[in-house]
Amino acid sequence: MKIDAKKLLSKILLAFVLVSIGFAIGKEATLRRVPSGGDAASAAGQGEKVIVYYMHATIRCVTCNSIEAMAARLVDTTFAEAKRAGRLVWKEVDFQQNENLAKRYDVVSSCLVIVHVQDGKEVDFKRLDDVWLLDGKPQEFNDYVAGAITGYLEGGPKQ
Amino acid sequence: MTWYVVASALWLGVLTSISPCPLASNIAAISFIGRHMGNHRRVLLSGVLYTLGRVLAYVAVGAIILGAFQWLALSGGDVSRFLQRYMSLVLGPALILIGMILLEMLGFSFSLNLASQGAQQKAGRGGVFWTTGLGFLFALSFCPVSAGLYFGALLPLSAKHGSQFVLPIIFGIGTALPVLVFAFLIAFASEYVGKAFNRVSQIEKWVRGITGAVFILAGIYYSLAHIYGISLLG
Repeated sequence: MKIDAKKLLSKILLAFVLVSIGFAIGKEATLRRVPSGGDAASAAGQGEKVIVYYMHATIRCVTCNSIEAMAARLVDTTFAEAKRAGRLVWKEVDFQQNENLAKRYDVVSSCLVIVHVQDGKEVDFKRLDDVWLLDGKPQEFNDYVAGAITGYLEGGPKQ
Repeated sequence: MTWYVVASALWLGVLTSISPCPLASNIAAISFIGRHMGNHRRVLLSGVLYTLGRVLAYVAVGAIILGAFQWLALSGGDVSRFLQRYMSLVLGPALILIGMILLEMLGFSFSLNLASQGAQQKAGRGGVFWTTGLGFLFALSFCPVSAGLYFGALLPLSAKHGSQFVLPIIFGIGTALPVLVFAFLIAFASEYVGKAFNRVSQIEKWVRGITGAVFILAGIYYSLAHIYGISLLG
């Protein structure tokens, strides 16, 4: 029996499309049932703290990974002491799975959000969207992010 | 609004297009536009219509957030997260189906007008107006970089300068520019090769086949990455 390769491939591709659509619907339904993550301030505990959130989408991209690496390196070097003392906390969050935080900070895409917490209450935050424009410009990136963190560590809110 | 602002919007668009994350859809767009080798007017028209599709998408989303639909109380974040979450799920299966239409692989058992054989042949051999829909679909399929630059940089710039239409239009043109340059280069280079070897019609046929295959591969890639969460590029 002669097998029509084009027809067979069509059927395989259509099956893949249908299974993918079903899988996507199932995945969305499951995600909607899972409660999204907790509150920033309560997670931070008591005292004065600065939380640096790296907000990312479920799918990571090359540029997103580069931004995360630059920010994490900055926190681990320039702010190592504050991090060790617990005054600075680094958190990585999937904003597509944590809608509470995404809505609270009106996150549009992967970005950094610097949050100032006093006695367990969030008093101010700054969303750093311009990190996208500074990929490949490490000095400007560090100045931009460090400026926002320092402002809060020194008792912000500051511009 | 100064020339500097206009140039910034254009640069943001170009930056969006040359970043790695929309690479698969850009390759698909390049092959779609460039497949009309041997017909300069068609290649140019496809390019213009693709740009128009992208521009329409960015202007529409901008209008929803900045302008006419402010009463909907949708923030940039709401719209961005919605599009990033759902359009990325739609893109993979849509690309596979478009690829199958281009290769005339969908049979008569499908009664959808879109997939009727006449429409498939039109799309495969001509159908330049499909390019507008393609541009629109690709522009709405925001990946992290395009969402960051459009929602995080372009729209704030538009709001600041009260430019609800001009800057999103310029941005849309910017996102299409690199794709157009490569599409024109490939179309004209393949035509040159075809003429040199006296095989234009044969090369045209291959290019059409390659375009369909590129769409299917890009669709499989996007489905694996966005639906099944399998990262192929690390």
